[in-house]
This record gives sequence, structure tokens and C-alpha cells, in this order.
Amino acid sequence: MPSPTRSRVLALAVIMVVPPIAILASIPWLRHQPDGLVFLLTGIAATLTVLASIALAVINDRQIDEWQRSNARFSSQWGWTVGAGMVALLLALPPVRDLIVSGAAVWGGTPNPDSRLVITTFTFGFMAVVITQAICTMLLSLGWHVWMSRDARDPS
Amino acid sequence: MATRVGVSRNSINSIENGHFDPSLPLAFAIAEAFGCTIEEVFERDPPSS
Repeated sequence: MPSPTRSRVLALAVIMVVPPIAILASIPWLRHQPDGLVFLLTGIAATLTVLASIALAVINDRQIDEWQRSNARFSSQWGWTVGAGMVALLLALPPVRDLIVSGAAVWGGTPNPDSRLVITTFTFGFMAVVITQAICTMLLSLGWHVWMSRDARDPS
Repeated sequence: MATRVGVSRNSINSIENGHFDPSLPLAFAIAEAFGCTIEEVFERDPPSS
């Protein structure tokens, strides 16, 4: 019988993975739905995925020891930085841009999308992610600084 | 040892090989597991000149 934590992790993993797959699978149906319904369903799916992934991250963080936490800090810090840099570099390569445009054509149901518009939108989306991460990092850094600088606990 | 102090084997291996410095609570736990003081288990790195 799986442990409660394992069952919880499994349930959260399902909640994290199923909504985006369901949205992708229902794109042909969603194309014929009103925008309001599409935004509502994709918003619910995104919210479920984000909340489940945050909960999974919290559970994982509570289970790892300091060596693993140090590993996670190192790899996430440099992984995000290098990954973001690589996306910026890859965007300069024509085959990558063509791949993005063809992906938008297939998933967006538009046979000949304006490639400049697609790349600009993709770049803005990427910039939004990077900027939001930078802002969240600064806010969390500030919060951590304040929390760790609080007065000492009363020894009594 | 890893089980006794509640960390992974990787942690103990890295500490033994000098690749990872344990936190103070973990250093205390390791010393306690050996029945020694921290100074008897860990030695300070020589200051770099």
C-alpha cells in the first residue's frame, strides 16, 4: 500500500500533467468555442497545473537533505540562467524560428501565419516569463532578507 | 551513518571526500553519532595565503 505522501505526490502529479494534455487534446474542439470559454478552460488548466507543481515542489523540498538542497539550488540557479540565454540565442537561428512558426501554424490552425508576428509574440512571451521570474526572485530575496534579519527569539 | 543522521548517502560521501561542508546541525549530528565532539571529527581548512 503506497504511503500517504506517495499517494499525495501521485495525485498532484496527475493534477499537474492532465490539464495541459487535456487542453492540447481538445484544441480541435476549442477552436470552435467562444473565446470566453477557451480562456476560462485554459485558465483553470493553468491554475491547476501551477498549484499542483508548487505543492509538489514544497513536498519535495521538505523531503530532501541539505546536500540535495544545495544541488537543487545550484542546478536551478544556473539551469534557469543558461536556459534563458540559450532561448535568446536559439531565437537568432532561422531553423528555430521556422520551427516556431510552423508550430504556431499547426497548433493555431492557421495555415500561413505572419512569421514576424509569431516570432514577436513568442519573444514577448519569453520576455514576460524572464521578467516575471526576475521580479519574483527580487521579491523573494527581499522577503528572505527581512525574515532572516528579524529579532532573535526570546530564549525563555 | 546516513540513516543515523537522517541524510542521504551522497551527503555523507561528499562530506567524507571534502567536497561538501555540512551545516552546523548536521556536523553536530555526525559528531554525536561517532560519540565525539565536532573538533574531533572535522578539522578546519588551512587559511589560504
